[in-house]
Amino acid sequence: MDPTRDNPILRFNTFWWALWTFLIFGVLLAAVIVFNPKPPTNLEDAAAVARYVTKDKVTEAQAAALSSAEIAAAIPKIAADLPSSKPAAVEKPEQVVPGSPTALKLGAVAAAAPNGASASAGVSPPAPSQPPAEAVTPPASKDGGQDARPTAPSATPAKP
Amino acid sequence: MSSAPSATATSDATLRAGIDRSLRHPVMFFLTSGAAWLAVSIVLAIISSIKLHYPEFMDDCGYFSYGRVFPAHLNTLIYGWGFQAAFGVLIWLMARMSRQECRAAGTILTAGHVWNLAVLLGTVGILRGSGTGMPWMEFPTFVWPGLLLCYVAIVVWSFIQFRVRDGGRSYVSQWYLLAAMIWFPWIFVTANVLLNCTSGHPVMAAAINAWFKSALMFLFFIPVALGTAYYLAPKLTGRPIPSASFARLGFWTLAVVAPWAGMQKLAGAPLPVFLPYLGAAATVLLAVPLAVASVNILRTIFSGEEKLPKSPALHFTLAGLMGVLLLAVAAIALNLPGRLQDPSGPAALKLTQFSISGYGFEILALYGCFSFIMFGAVYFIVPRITCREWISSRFINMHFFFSAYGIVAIAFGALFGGFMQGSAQEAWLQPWETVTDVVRPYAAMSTFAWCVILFSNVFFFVHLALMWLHLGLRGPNPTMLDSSTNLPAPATQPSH
Amino acid sequence: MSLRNFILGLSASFGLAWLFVVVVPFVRMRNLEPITLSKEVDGVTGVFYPKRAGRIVNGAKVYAENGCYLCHTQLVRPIYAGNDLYRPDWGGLAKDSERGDTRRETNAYDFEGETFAQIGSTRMGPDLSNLARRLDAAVAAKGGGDPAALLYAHLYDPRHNPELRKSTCPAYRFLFDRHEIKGQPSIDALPFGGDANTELVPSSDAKALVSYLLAMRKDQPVPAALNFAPIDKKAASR
Repeated sequence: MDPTRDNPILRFNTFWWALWTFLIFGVLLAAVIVFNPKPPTNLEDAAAVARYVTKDKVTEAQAAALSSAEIAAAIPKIAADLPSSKPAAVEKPEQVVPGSPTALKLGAVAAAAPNGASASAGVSPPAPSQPPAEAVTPPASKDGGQDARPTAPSATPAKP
Repeated sequence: MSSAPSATATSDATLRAGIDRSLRHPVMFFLTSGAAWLAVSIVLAIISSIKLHYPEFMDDCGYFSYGRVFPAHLNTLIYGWGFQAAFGVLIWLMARMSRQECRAAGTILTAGHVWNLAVLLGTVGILRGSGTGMPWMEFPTFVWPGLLLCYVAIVVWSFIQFRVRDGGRSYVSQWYLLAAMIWFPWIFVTANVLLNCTSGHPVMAAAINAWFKSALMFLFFIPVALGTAYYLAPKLTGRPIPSASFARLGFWTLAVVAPWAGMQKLAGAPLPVFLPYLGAAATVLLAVPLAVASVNILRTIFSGEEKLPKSPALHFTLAGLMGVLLLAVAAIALNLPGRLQDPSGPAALKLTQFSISGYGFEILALYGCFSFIMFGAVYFIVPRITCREWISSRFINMHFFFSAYGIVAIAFGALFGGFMQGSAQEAWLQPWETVTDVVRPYAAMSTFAWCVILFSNVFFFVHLALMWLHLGLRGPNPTMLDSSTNLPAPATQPSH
Repeated sequence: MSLRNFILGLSASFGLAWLFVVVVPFVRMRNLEPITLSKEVDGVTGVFYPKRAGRIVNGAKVYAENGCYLCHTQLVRPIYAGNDLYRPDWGGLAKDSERGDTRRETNAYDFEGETFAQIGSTRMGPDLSNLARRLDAAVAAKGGGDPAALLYAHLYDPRHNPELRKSTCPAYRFLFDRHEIKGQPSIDALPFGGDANTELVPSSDAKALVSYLLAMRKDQPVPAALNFAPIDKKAASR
């Protein structure tokens, strides 16, 4: 028996060599993984590239068609024009707000002309509580078929 | 050995007795707890096998649904029985062959208990529905680092014993056992880190898992079995290994070929095409080291004209070596990607890839080869460390014969049934019910075979428990398998 | 031979295989480049991305935990490796109403979103790669219905369906809850198993699993680089 072969130092060394031997391929694997990180591309991101290209094209085209610089330049001019322009009276009957004084005036004119129309078109002021159906003036854009008033067509000759 | 002068022989016997005494508690612990897990595994195997042909069996209980009970069976067989039997046998063999007493019995015993706890937690995890879904790695992910730590704490002492041993030459058993000790952490860490700790391509993850399965069989269990058989055969027969160069050839061809095998399970998958076919070729080539090693040891056993002693350890070792030969044949038959005898017929790999023959192959390796040789080692080692003899040769015979019937039924049934199942799968004009119908009889055969194996192992468990409780026979004569158990051993036979 | 040389020999023999079969393929495949489609060859631009809608991650976890991979595969093998593509509804549909023959083998992009491809161990049950396509076709043939309902019924009791009375699929009753009907019956309730006051509804695990299974459509058109169909079929698909 060779006494120098078996000693605590040899055992201690062998213990760590054994651990190293067991784990060598684990360490190599860790090194391989550390030096080969997975690229962040997945299929979703790769497919998204085309979408972003399209999005950029759309944004560009929109910007070209409607430049924000032009809008920004136009705004002061119009803003300056607006206060200096006076509100003009509206003359087209289809743009008249129902129940407004202009509408009442128009209604009175129309009622006076054929002379047979009921005064329903012009009677009621624009009160919050709605009088019964005959006082409800159809708006200018509605066609005559929905008119509840019996004397509809002749009262508003300019009705579309 | 028997021609040594008596003084050396006495000190030798004292040394061996000292080694056995130092290892008594760890080894008995591993063998008995391993045997307990074997019982659990076989019961789970029976339940899962019944569900294959009678799915209404126990279907109220989610814990025992097939998808949980089958992985629980395999994982308890591997990590509960397989590893603990390997630990018990490995630490004893390495200590004896290095002629070193074990100084770390306490550490080994503690690590063994923690190993059992980890396996228990893992098994409960699988049954509760926390399995990972990766074949042979189904324990929840927190288990594997614990298993690795326990493993190192158990086997590193054997490594040290080998290093500080007397004498420069080493025996082939030591190569196999040392290599198995070193290979396991390499494959375990690689597979677990790549599958559980890093993210990669999902199909490659499946391929590495398949590689791990094959590597665990051929780089841990089979080398432990072959190393044990190389030790037991000359010891029990008193005859030397006929060819040292074949022993060397067998070992190094296993080392070179086995790491390439495994990925044939993924033939046809979207992987680089060389991977699965390289795996198939390597598995076919594995027949060479398996056949070389088993023939070498079988020649030891059958050389010479005297009758063989009817030693239980020898019977089990012999059966295990026959299993190794059968495994070699199966490795070729299941994995040929080309044509078998019939040139117009389909290739074997196409048929067996998704059939029960894979399971048959694995059980043949784990039970037919590894477990049989481990049983042989148990019947050899336990009397030496408990200083008692086995009580009943009848029990040993029951264990042997029924296990042998059972494993032959499973192996042949699953291997052949797998070909039938594969042919039915490939018959694409037929509806799928034909495949279910074809498998049913083989599943029933497998259930029956596992029941037979459980029956055989009841004798083993009872016997081992009695020995553990120190109730074995006292006396100078070893228990033999023939009727004249009380005859004194002949003087020319080497002492056990 | 000394211990050191022994370990060196072992490292060399193991390390070579470890490198070429495990590590290098792993690293190369985790950096798999997406396939860029070209207008001339494939007819569209962009990147080949077989999207899957559904709870892939949660559903794959339930699939793994319950061992579905033990009996079902998710791999349609090319012709040289198996006859899977000949079956009329495994690799796609042989007679799809819109596209004709859509069958193809599995490619590397089909498992996007999963960490472990459940290729499968055995085929006790059929391959699941195009399960949702099969269910859609079955539902269309019946004139309407919900493929999810078919799957819930199968999971609860696989042998309930007379066509599958020989199935050995386990009954996943634990994936369903029985609760009282409050007001209207739940839309996911099983059509059987309940009574006047209670109904069976799928748990969240069952819903995740069914969502995952209903994303199993792996017969999208593939770019030319992955198209291994016979020549006349390629011409027909242009």
